[in-house]
Formats: sequence, structure tokens, C-alpha cells
Amino acid sequence: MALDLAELATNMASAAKEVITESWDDIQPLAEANFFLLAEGITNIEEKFLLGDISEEKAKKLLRMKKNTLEIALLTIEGLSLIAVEQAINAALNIVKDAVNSALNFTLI
Amino acid sequence: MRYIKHHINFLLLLLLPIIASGCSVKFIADYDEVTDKLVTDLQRKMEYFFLDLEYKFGTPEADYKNYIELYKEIKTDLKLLELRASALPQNEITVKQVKLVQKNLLLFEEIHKDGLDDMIFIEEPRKDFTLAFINILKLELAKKRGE
Repeated sequence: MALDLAELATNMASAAKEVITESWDDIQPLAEANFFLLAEGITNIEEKFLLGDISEEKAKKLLRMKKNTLEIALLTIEGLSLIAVEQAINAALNIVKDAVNSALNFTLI
Repeated sequence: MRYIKHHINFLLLLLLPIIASGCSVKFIADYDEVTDKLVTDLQRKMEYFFLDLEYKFGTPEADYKNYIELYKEIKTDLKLLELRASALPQNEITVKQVKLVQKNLLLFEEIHKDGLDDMIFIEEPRKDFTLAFINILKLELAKKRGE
């Protein structure tokens, strides 16, 4: 049976899309929770500073800590996205592998 | 249509060496049990540290000089974690995260030296460290890739 390239490409895209969608469903709430907590913290620091409860120097240090924590959160999102892309590519590769093997009627790959 | 087919052929041609080698692609390190344990232990230690500070807040017992040994211990643990993470291939993201936690510890140490004269100096850094460790662990566990 000859390989249908258009069908193969569509199946590859569907497999990849499914993985990406599932991963984004996991990443989105994590990203939102991180951003909410960090925004809340920054607001608390600003409030304390405006009330004169804390010095500018110390407020800046707290904000630098928030900036670093935000970077850590973004790095996790980057890592999770990389894993999602990796899994999407592998899902697409599996479609090709199955299609080639079934077209040849033996396990080539 | 011919244009699309041409591109699909080209894409398959590009993927062929990967497919033929029977390999799957990998962009990020595998899960590491040692990292997982080190981060979990650190999280516990930091949580105890902040709880202790919270109890002693407003008393001389909360002074920096009483925590020097604990800072040394946490710095050593973070260095061990950094070394472990650096030794693993494709693990740059985790290494960067650990270095940022180290920066945050130094910033908190500076604040502590100046004196914790408001609860916000305990509450906000505590949230930062908790969030940082949750994020590092979340990524580490995702590296299991459904295994």
C-alpha cells in the first residue's frame, strides 16, 4: 500500500496538536497562579513602601527577589513547553513510523 | 496542491534520518531523583527557617547573627543542587533556576542583616522561595514524561 502524503501529514499534525493542547491545559493554570501570586506580592510591597513602613532600599531588594522568582516561573513554563513540543514531534514521528511499517508490511523502523 | 506536496516531501525528507534511526527527539534532561530529593529537602529546610523567624519576629532571637550557621547550611545545599543539576545533560533550565534561588537567598540575607523590622520581610520572601521550589519541582516531575 503506497503512502498517502497528504493524509500522513494531516495525521501527524493532529497527533502533534493533541499533545500541545493537552500540555497547554496543564501549563496555563500554573502560569496564571504564578503571575497572580507575584502580582499580589508586588502590590503588597508597593503598599508598604507608600505607607512609609519599609525603606526604599529594602523595598528594592524585595522587588528584585520577585523579579528572580518570576524568572524561575517563566523558566518552568519554558521547560514545560519544550517537553510539550518534544512530545508533539515524537507523536508525529510515531505516526510516520506506523505508516511506513504498515505500508511495507514489515517493521522497517 | 503541488506546492503543499512538495513541502510535505521536504519535511519528510528532513525527518527521515530521525525516523530511520528509530529515535525520538529530546530537548530537555530526564527526571533526576537526586535533584527531586535535594529540592524537597531544601523546601522543608526553608519552610522551617521562615516558620522559626515568624515565631521569633520582633525579638532579639530573630537577629541575623543567630542564623549564620543556617545560612551556611542552606548555601551548601544550594551549591550541591547546582552541581548536581549542572552534571546532567540538557539541564540548563534547572541550573538557571537554582542560580536564581541562590541570588534570592543572598538578597534575603542582606535584608536580614539590616533587620526584619516588618512582617513583610518574612512573608514575601517566604512566598518567593515556596514558589521557586514548586516551579523547580513541577519541571523536574514533568521530565518523567508520563513514565
